[in-house]
Amino acid sequence: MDRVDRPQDIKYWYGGIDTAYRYTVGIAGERFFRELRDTGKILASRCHRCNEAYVPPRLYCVKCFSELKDYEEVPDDGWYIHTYSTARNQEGQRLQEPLIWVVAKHRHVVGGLVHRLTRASPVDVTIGMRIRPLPKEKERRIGSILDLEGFVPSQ
Amino acid sequence: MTGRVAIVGVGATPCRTITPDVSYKEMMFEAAQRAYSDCGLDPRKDVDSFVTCAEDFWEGTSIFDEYVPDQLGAVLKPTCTIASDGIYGVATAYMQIAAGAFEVVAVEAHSKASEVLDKAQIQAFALDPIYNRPIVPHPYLLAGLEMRAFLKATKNTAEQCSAVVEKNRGNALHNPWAARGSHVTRESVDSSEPLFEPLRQLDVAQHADSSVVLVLASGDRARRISDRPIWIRGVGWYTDDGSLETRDWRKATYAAMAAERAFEMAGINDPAASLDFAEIDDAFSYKELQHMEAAGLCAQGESGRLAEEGATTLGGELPVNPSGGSIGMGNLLEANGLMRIAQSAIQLRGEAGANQITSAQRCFALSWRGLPTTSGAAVVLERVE
Repeated sequence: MDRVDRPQDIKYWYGGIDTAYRYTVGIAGERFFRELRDTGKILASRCHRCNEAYVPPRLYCVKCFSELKDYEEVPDDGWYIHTYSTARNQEGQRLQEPLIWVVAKHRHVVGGLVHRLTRASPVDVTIGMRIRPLPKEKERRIGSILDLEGFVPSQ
Repeated sequence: MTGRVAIVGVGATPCRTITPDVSYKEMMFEAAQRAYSDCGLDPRKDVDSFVTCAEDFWEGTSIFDEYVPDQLGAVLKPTCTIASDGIYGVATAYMQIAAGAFEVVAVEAHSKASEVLDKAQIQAFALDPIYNRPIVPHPYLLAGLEMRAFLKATKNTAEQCSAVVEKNRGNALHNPWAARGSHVTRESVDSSEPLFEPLRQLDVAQHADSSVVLVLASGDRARRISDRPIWIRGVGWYTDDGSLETRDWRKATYAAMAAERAFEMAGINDPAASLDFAEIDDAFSYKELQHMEAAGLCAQGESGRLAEEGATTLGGELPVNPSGGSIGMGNLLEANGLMRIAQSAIQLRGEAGANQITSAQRCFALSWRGLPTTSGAAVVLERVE
């Protein structure tokens, strides 16, 4: 086919999408975020048939497809780093302190949480390192994943 | 039995970093013309069904299905669009033919990545809005997290990932279809800009534009249409529980299961010994290693050493991505898997030019749908003398 061969002849039309959504957190999510906001605790849903607990809580079991009705508090002890990554720059700016993100898993639950790791230096961080969740002060909690500051190394 | 379904036509536009001279429809039209010309078929008369793989957000058009038929010769013919990678389209076409619904099916996938001005935002928008979007600043964080988990679990190294980049960019230098061919040394990958560590800038397959069209036909028709059909021996596709919290970041279970199913269909027990080469997803350098191990092309923890020692180069024991892969050809969004199959078919036909592997007869292709997914599809392809 014949093509445009002069760059100045190329025409574009610009367009985009300007739309917003409202995402329902759902039955299990409601329990999770109310508990986090009100007590600063992490909640799991329990499948008695498979003897598994899920974080974030789900209304159903991934393994047996049962509907889950029971919730339980996840102990602060038992969290560890499944994997982590660090960034030394953000939006093109060199950071004074590198940022650290972790996939936090807990030895007694299926799942975990993805969040920031704070109060730690990248050189000290390892996979398998024991950590614990750090909720914000109660008056700053609104019922969001940001009600956690993140995780911090266990003492 | 030579098979039930074969690839009889291959067409694509060369991968390019920008394609300002054509619209996406014109790019698809050109690839379709090439594929139909390759097999001597008229789409208005000879092609029974059409499958396109496209994701609305990459297209910049909602309900993109409606924008597919005219440039493929598919108006008022059975047509469907799958929001997934191109190998899912091949699997769909395979089933349509194997079920006896149609004899000839065309599959298309494309990338106009150069015109997607906010690629990272689209991948970020694929994250769970409630638990993940407020935390994850950029989708490449997920690649950094996965690369760390994979390397730690397998004892492969970032330096071995650099060997993948060197190989794939180098292979692409001799592939006229490729957009990203270049002499890149392992050392330059090692010293490229850190992103979300351990991920580095040159670990990332940079995007390109292209459209790929394959024409598939049933056994009897395939033999009448083509004297060089490439037979589809096995297909498989799986999606894991994709939540960031639940997935096992160390391994690609979706790829392992897709490969296992495809190999089982093909009657392959020992992939490494049975294949002449593999074209597998390398959207990030470590993914090539992870996918080699998942597919059983080598033992766990062996992929890095094989890459480092040259066993996966063109002249190696099991060449991996002789085309240059996505790192060398360019990341084609939903068209990556279809390009892997197109390049495989060209190899098996003996038409790969400087990158030709002598007497290549059987190969494996694997796709991954990219961040943040845990979806993959696999095929086994074979040339019969």
